Amino acid sequence: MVYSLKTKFYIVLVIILISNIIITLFLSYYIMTDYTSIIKSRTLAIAKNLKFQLDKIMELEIPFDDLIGFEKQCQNIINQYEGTKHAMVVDVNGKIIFYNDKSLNNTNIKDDDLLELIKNSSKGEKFTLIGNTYEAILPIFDKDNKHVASIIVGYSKQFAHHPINNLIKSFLILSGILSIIFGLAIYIILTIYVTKPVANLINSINHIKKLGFVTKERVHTNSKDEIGYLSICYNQMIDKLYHTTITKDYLNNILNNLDDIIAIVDNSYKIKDINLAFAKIFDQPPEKFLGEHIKKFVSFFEENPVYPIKDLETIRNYETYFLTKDNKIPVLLSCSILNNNNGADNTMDIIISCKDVTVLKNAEQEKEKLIAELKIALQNIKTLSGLLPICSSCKKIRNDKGYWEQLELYITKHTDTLFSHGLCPDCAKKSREELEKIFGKKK
Amino acid sequence: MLEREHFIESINLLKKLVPNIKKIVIIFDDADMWYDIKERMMMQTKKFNDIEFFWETIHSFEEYKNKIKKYQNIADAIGTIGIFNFKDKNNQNVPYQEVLKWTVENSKLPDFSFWVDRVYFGTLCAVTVSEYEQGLSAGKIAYQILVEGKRPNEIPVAPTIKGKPIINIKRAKNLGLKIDSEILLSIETINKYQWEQYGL
Repeated sequence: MVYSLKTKFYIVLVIILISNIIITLFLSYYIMTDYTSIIKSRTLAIAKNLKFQLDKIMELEIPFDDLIGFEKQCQNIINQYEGTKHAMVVDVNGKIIFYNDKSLNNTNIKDDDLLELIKNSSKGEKFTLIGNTYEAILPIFDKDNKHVASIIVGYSKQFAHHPINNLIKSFLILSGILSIIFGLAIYIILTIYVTKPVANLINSINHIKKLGFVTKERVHTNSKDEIGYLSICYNQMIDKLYHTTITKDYLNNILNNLDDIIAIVDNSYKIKDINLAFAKIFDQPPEKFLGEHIKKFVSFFEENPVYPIKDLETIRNYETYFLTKDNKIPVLLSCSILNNNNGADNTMDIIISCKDVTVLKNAEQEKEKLIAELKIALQNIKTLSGLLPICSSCKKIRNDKGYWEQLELYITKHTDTLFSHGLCPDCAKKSREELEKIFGKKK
Repeated sequence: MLEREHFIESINLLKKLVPNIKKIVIIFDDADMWYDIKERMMMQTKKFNDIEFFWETIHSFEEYKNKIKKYQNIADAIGTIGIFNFKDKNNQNVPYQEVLKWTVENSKLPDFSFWVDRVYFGTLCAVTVSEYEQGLSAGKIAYQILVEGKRPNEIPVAPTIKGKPIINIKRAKNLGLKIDSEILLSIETINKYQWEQYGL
């Protein structure tokens, strides 16, 4: 399940609120425990006050049965200490001797628990909660240290707990209100400074996801915190991506405009995509070839259908043939591996590029033919340049048959060379001198 | 400071101890010093319309004994005020402590007086002149003279208003009185007879 930032915030808010309530209740428990201890001390102190008065009278050695009017002291206790429900003196059998309400004198304690405590109170002071009343019970001893009566002071639980309950209630309400106020404040702050900028970022990313980098989608923010810095970085990233990222269509256009035959195959050499140059050879739509094994089209893979992928990178301009239905096109094969690091889908594609070298091959054949001819010609030139017997006087050359031939004629026979005749300046000068010698010098 | 008996307060205290008092006999010896006191007391009896006062002047201890015995049936309480001048059969003065001891031993009537020593010797109750109040008032007069610069003759001679109530619990027990707890807690009590401790 995916939770939005706001939902998470609400969850945190609810957790804080619940935590506040739990902490308050937890503290309340301890406060109540401590406060009960205070109530115990207070109630016992009130009872001791009454006991002190009774003890003072007892010190006068007045028989307990001769005491009169002590209910007024009990009533004084009620008047003096707010929250005191009753104050009384009871004998060891639970008979009320003095009660703050005189009309209850000489009645009996009816509560069994209290009666039990009265009977056991000779062992020391007692404090307990009976019903809705905290009861403090103190024993009274006569001069012979005989337990003759008990002082009982009842303190209202409701009254005792009232201020604490009010405190807890106020604390709960206050903490609730403060939690809501702080929650709202945090919500507004988060909305302004976190969720809204993040939403802007998400919108921008979604826009790019949907339309691509058709425009430079920017996020506007005035914030200078981490979110603001993130927005600035995002904008800078978008600027860079806009200039560096190309779309698949753009890439396809490039591929389709290449003259080289391009096929993209998966790691089992099944065709995933081809360019138009590939499809044009067969005059078929590209979809026709998808899923075909590349060995059908490249003779290298026909010979090596399970060539190790890791070695593919070494194949560069490898001479092989692209196989058509009727023909074999000489090509230079190059392979490269394209890793697709898409999270868990760690697959790889292989780009197979075949450069048509038919023209080059033809040119190469022509070249080889020419070289062969030249080689023959070179052989001929070698014959001519071998040892030629030549007349040192007339410069005639003796041919293979033993006949002397004119130099020009011999060369003309064995090469494509033709001779034109003329005089070089020295010979012309020499001829002219001979002619002058014969005919005399022209004047 | 002027020392004055707290008659009204003493009667009120007695009434708290014995609420149904109707007749009180006030006893004086024949000394002249009681004349003024008696006069003042008689003036104040008007405050007690429900009580009948009888004023007795007694000359001897024997007469005292007889009268006390007689009062047992006709009075509800006795005020033993003047008891210093009683003579015995030998015409010797009987100490007031002995008079009081005899009273304790022979009278079942609650009695009162104005002096603390009487209570120590068995008188049931008294509102005595408070030494504290006397000291406080004397201090106030000294302050007026020394600090405020008043002349002594400018300051009226007046008694203290508050007295000190005191009860002899033992006497109360002997008389079979049940004393309200509030009284026991609010006033000074004595739970013995002086002669038991020191003799007479």
